[in-house]
Amino acid sequence: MCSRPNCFKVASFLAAFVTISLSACQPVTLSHEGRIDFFQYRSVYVQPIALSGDAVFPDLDSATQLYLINELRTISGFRDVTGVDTLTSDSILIVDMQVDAMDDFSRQDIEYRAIASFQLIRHSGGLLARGEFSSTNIDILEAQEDALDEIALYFLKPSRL
Amino acid sequence: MIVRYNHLGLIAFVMLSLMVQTALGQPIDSKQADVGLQVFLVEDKTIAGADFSFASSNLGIHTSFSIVTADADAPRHNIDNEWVGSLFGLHFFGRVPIAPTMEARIGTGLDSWLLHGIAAGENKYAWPAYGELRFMPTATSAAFLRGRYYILSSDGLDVGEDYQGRQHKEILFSAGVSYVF
Repeated sequence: MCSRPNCFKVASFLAAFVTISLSACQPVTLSHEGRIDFFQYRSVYVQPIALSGDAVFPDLDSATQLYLINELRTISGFRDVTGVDTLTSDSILIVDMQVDAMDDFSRQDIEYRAIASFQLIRHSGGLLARGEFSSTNIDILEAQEDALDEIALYFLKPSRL
Repeated sequence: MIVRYNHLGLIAFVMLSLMVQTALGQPIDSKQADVGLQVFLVEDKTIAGADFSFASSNLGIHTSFSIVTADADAPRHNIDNEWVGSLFGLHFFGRVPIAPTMEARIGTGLDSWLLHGIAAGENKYAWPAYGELRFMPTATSAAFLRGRYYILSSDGLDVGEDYQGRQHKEILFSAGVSYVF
């Protein structure tokens, strides 16, 4: 049992605590505005990704293209993401990826740096967005995928909660 | 990225003054570590998790990790998951004794909202100023009420704004209980 002054103090605190708690609920809104107008540009054709750099064979790569398509389908604001140019898509995503090997003599590891630069253009011509992301990893595939993840995140669908 | 910087200078001045005053003031005798549970008092979401702090005389460090979920009936656009992500906080604070069983804490630090439920890599950050009223009915227990105001925050992290865009008080309250040792 507590003494009378202590009991009063405890009761006062608890009463104030409950009162403030019940009246203190505030809204918190988490939102993201799309980087482009996804109502106007609903579909995108992702071109095969042009690879370059000293860690890869220069090529137009369909495996990384497919990876990016899947990521865009999962999180982007585009309703339709395709790897085949049907001439009906609203926009074209052009990605160039440079992958270089970097020797780290102190760790006896080879690190790979992937630099992905992209351009989103209207199918009729005209630039909509451009940017560049890079990622470094000891796994060459991880380095490439992380850079492509950043591109997909750039086109994250608008949301509000 | 950063959208809110109103009252920045004033708040930083008041906060620093209080922390310096606290640090230079009469030391609180007891070192204190505690582990507890914290619930944020928010609408349409449930944010709750673990809360740790260690206080040495006048100053301390506080960290918390909470899970953020959306209530089933929360208004939403383009978010299907109920699990939204997590909120990680790391703060430093000063202690202000009020009574033998009560103290206030004033601090600042970093809040990281890691919204994996929306998309991996969709993170929002905020620089909070917070005040805490802490009641210790016994030597091993404490209850607290904490209010934090975001001095700076990422675009799209709006405390006090509801789904329709109406503005309310920009203070995020949380309450919790701790085991003190």
